[in-house]
Amino acid sequence: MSRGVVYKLIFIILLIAFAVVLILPTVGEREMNILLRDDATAEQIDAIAARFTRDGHQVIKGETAVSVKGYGLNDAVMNEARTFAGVKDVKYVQHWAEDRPIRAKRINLGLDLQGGMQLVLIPNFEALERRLGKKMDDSEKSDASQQALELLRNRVDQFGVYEPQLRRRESGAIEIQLPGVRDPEAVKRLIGTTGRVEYRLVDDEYSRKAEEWLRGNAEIKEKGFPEEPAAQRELLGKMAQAIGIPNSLEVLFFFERIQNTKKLVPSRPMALEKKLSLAGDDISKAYRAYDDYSRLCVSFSTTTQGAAKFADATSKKNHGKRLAIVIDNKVRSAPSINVHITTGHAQIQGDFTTEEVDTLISIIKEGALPVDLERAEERSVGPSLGVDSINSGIKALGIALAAVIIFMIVYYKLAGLISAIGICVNLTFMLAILSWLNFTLTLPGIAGFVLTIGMAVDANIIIYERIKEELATGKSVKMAISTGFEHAFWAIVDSNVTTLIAAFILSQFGTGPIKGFAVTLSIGVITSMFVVLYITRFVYELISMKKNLKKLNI
Amino acid sequence: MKLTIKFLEHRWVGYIITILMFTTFITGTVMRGGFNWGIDFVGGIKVIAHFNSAVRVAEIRHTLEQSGIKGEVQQFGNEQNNEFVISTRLPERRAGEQQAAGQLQGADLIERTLANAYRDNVRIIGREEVGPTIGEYLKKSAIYLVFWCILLMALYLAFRFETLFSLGAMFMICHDVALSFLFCGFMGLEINIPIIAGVLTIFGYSINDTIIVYDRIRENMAAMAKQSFREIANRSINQVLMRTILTTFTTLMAVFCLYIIGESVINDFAELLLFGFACGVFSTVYIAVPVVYEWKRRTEEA
Repeated sequence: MSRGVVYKLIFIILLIAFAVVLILPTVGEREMNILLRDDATAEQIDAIAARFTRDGHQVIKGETAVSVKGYGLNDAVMNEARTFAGVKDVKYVQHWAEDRPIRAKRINLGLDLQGGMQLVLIPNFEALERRLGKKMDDSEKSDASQQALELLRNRVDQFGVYEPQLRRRESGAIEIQLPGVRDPEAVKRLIGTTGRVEYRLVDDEYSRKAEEWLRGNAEIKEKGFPEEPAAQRELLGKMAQAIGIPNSLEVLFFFERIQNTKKLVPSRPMALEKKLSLAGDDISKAYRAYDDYSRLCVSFSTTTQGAAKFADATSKKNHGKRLAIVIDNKVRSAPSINVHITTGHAQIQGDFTTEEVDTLISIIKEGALPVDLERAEERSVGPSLGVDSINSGIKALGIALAAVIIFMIVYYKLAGLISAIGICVNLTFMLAILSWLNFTLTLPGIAGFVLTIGMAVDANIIIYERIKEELATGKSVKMAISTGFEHAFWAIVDSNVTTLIAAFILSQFGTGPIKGFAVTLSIGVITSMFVVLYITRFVYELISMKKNLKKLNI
Repeated sequence: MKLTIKFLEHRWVGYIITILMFTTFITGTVMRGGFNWGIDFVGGIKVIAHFNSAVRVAEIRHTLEQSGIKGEVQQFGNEQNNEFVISTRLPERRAGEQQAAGQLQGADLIERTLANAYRDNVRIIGREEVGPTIGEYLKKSAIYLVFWCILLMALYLAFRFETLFSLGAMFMICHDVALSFLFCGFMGLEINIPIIAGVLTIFGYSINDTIIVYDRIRENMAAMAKQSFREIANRSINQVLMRTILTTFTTLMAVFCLYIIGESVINDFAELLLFGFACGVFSTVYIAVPVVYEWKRRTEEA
């Protein structure tokens, strides 16, 4: 063997090994820890254990947590585990392949496979136009839907859902995906109402006390703030009592958004006056501007009514205090008051990024002009239906795989076996890329997998038929193999490119599940081309190296 | 195996089959009262209910009718599962009429009616509600997509082959897509988003065979420059016919697995693919190549 061949061999083996490791967290066993509340009773723990032993999971009951290990522990199952009595939180234990050097990812399952709810909401532009008394242009509509999205992000945490996804869709619509929701009614109730924005003065003394109390709290120090809204409220109540807050004040959390997850998390407590300084609709407009130091800032104007209130709030006695902007009982910004403003025009200055400024503007606008959202589409899938779908999908995949492999081996003998191995390698690559790039697997996505099995051998067939043809003209085996691959190359590339064009166009077609199909199909087309034109070809190069090769088993 | 069929001489066989298929499918579609647009496109409600013990479709329909719900009730998946899909469509929107938010309350009504009638025996395992605004948007974008798909592929093929071949392929694709679409109407398949995905997949796949044939014609044209286009084309089709059939066969095998095992949505999708892919082989031989031939015959000696 020449050095080049050895390198190629090593490269291919490494590539396949890497792909196998990448799909381990998806196809292998998983583990989750169900953290128990301090007051969880033995019966509650048994109920949890029974639920998972029944499904054949390996369950280890501990003092503070129940560890569950097995297959099929997806986000929806985790969300279900959260609903058990006596459960504080559920944590997913990372698979070793998900750790540092490799960073494999679990494949995301679409709502149709893991159960959950999808809502598409459309801002009621007509109602808005009536309130504004004028027609809205496209950019105003886009603004309105952006601000509605901001409001929804603010709220969606309250559903206690593991991985909510929100995104804007065509013509101002907003799509929300909530895996494993148990109570769709509650979700709809929360989403239908509009946000309440308030401007309230911050009491620095009690804010400091609250922070001190938190610093002395060992549990919070160790574990951070609770994620559950109910637990957060409970903590705030405890805090208010501990620092002996007067009746005119209350403590709320200041929330910050984590950059990469877009999640809102509490960062520190803040004591606020219960009395509103300004209501949300006292503001008339908010927009991006630059301050005297050419830093990005938020500029806003009050209504005539609001101007008087604002002048009062910014009067001398309040200088140095902060004015908190609160939406849905979450403090999102608290600029200091420095100047007495009587004109009704003011700026919020700070070292803001563009995104921060835009978020703040969205919040202020939401208060000024609440956007009503209408449900345009709602889909919910129960977890049992999802499991059925996965099972029938996997069954179809298995049978298709077996059928195609048997056919190939019967028809092409040894060559058929080589392409059968090729299909398996191809499926591994597909799954690896899908999880690596964080794509979502849907039921049509599984159909894409099944379809790829059938299509992936097409290239093999085209090559093998060509080789047969070359052999028939009297060429030597070596020559037939190399000309066969060469002549088939462009026909394969051309036909795959057209499939790719169709798949790409399809991926532009809005909705989730079909996108899943298009993405799987595209990846399948690319990987199968690579497997056939690189790996399978290499295998034949190895075969050709055999001396006195007289007959090809094809 | 040495097949030598003179396809081009017998091209009228293909034309007749095509015309027959079109007439049959169109008549069938019209007799069914047009296409069966799914709720993805016209808006409506779909509730999937699971019953613990066996229930008959007629019984469910009767229960719903008593509450004033006119909907279709269909078995979902296996008969032993006792699962049913209940769907109602939004009435056609009259011009200028606004969508009332109340229209989406229907699913709740269905759920409540079933819960009242069957108590613990029934469990809702899935539901979909689609408003009419979404449907209109989808219809529009589906048309855009098909248009872009044709354009991009035509450009690619024109770049890789002669323009004439590209036109022939596009003609064939339009033929396949129209026929697949009419097939849905003929079989009464519900036209929903997966079906559109199916049509676009047929697009991408059925052209593969055509490319294989064109590729061979191109190769043979260089090698046998002296022969007429008809001879070259006939010979090329004969040479690659086996692999065209084999490649489609393996793909059909996979699709067939989806068809027999898949869930109801996937099932219709697979049925369409089965037809479309099989149709792709036929149209390569009887549409894509003859179109090029007819053109060449009229413009030059062939």
